[in-house]
Amino acid sequence: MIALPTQDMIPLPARIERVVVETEDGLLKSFYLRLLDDEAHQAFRHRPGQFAMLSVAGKGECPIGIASAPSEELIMFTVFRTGLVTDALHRLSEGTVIGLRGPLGNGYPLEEFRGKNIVLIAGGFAVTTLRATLVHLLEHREDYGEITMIYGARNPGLLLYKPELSAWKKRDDLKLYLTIDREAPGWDGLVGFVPQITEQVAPRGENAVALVCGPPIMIKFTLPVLEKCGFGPEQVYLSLENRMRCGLGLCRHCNVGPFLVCKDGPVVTLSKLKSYPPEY
Amino acid sequence: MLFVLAKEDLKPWLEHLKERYELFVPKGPDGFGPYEGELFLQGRTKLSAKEFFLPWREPYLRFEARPGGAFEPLSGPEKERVVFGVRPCDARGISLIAKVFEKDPLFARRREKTRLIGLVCREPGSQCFGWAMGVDPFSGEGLSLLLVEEGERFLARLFEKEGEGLISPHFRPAGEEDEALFERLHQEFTKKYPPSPALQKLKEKEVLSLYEAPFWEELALPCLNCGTCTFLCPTCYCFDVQDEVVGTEGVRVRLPDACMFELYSRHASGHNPRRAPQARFRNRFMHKFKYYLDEYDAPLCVGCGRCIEECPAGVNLWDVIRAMSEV
Repeated sequence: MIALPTQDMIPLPARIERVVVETEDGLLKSFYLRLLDDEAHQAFRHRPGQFAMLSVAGKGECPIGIASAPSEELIMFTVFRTGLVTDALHRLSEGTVIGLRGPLGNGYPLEEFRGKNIVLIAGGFAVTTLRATLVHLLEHREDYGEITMIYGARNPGLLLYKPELSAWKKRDDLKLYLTIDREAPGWDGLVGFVPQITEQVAPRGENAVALVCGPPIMIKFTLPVLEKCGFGPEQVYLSLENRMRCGLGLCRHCNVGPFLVCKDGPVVTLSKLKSYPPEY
Repeated sequence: MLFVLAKEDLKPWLEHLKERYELFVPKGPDGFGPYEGELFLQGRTKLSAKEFFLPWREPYLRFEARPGGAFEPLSGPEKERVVFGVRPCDARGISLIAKVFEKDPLFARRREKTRLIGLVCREPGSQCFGWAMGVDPFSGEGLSLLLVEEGERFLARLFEKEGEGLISPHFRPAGEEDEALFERLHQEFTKKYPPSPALQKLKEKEVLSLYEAPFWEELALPCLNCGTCTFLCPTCYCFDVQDEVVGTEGVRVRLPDACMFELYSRHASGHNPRRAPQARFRNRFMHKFKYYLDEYDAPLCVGCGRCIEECPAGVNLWDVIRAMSEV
């Protein structure tokens, strides 16, 4: 059961239970939240790929992808410090209460992916909702075919979720390819941009879907690689981001032509996206 | 049901309404305000009645402005409201917005609390083209009661049962002749003023062929992206959300916004999917005459002509509609 987001714009109070500094530069932190109302917390159900609005009183709201899987006890968000709200969030300590509104958006249609091979391709800190997706897939491992994840960051210090990455590395039911842009001391893994590594890994498009999250430049060069591997545009899923206010399909800030990222997205197939103006 | 109201009874009737409701009327050429005796009935006002549903500033949360401050919802207007003198095109504007906002509690509450009394323009204003956008002023769309000026009296059509409270002893039921007259006026109007064939043509266009059409650059050239058109428009509904803080007290407010502004679509990273002024101009018209039209089978425009009248750069909506429908 997916709980429907409320139609009003009232955030629910949520306590920051834990803060984890994810990257060496300190610009990414994960916030583990618990809704103050026990019933609301238990009832909070999301689908990997959905997002929520986080509120800091006096600073405003901003949309952040949900990085935790539905089964996990706390609702987790990994936040890049970049604007007014995220800057305020980064200054908050454990125990502080913030506002949470969601889950919002569509998320990945994971039930449609059953029986298929799944390729997750992530660049930089866009990995967050794919982390939620991967955790969910591994919990329901028998429902899916081969699972491959390609995840790249500029340097080792910018890779998120390091303890988990090590654990995932050891699994034999997951092919995990971690890469960094340039050689770095102490790094003995892959070196190269995500599109290049994808080309080397060469996942096959047959009975497969690819979920791609990353900066525009990575996506631009990854899509032709996937096409070469046999992925049709309806097999490629992207997740869009645009400035938004309501998250409910009202305020229209996030429109990509007729498509509202908040309500119709953020997840969209490449074939659908190609029919819209490139406003993202 | 049709009633008749003598013109001399107009103000006594408004006084009657004022005792029962919070009553707003067109007070002058600029717009509406609480009824205090003045009435401006010589044509539509510069601002439409949109502000009663999407106010210029709507606080909806209160909070203590400190880390961890809790949010407390604020409720909208408590009193039943009546807005008199709404032009049928503006009333349709509210109906068009309602198709998008019907589930929004703030909008729904204002709709529930507000009744609109319409007033038909017997002659179209010089910049009006409501009929071309599918407005039928006699249909009563979005209205509880509709007045049609006819000599020394008004014909008054009551459209909803809940509107009965608006009828005072000043009204008398209309006779058969008046019923026939109302029907005749209605039919004459729809015959003389049909919807524009451009609407059908626009429906048949592809989104991308319109979006990529070469005419946008030329049409958008004079546009200053000032947003005047969006704020005056009775159908533009985009809004912004801001936290306003004074001392330790804060409120979160919804405010009208305009897709004409650079900040409207700018990401926190600085990236902007509609950085070019022309792209923002295009988005406004694509929304009104393609995206909304496709979704709700009506353009997001009621042909009031305010944008044409008030545009400081002389952008004419019809030039855009013509170009779009003939691409």
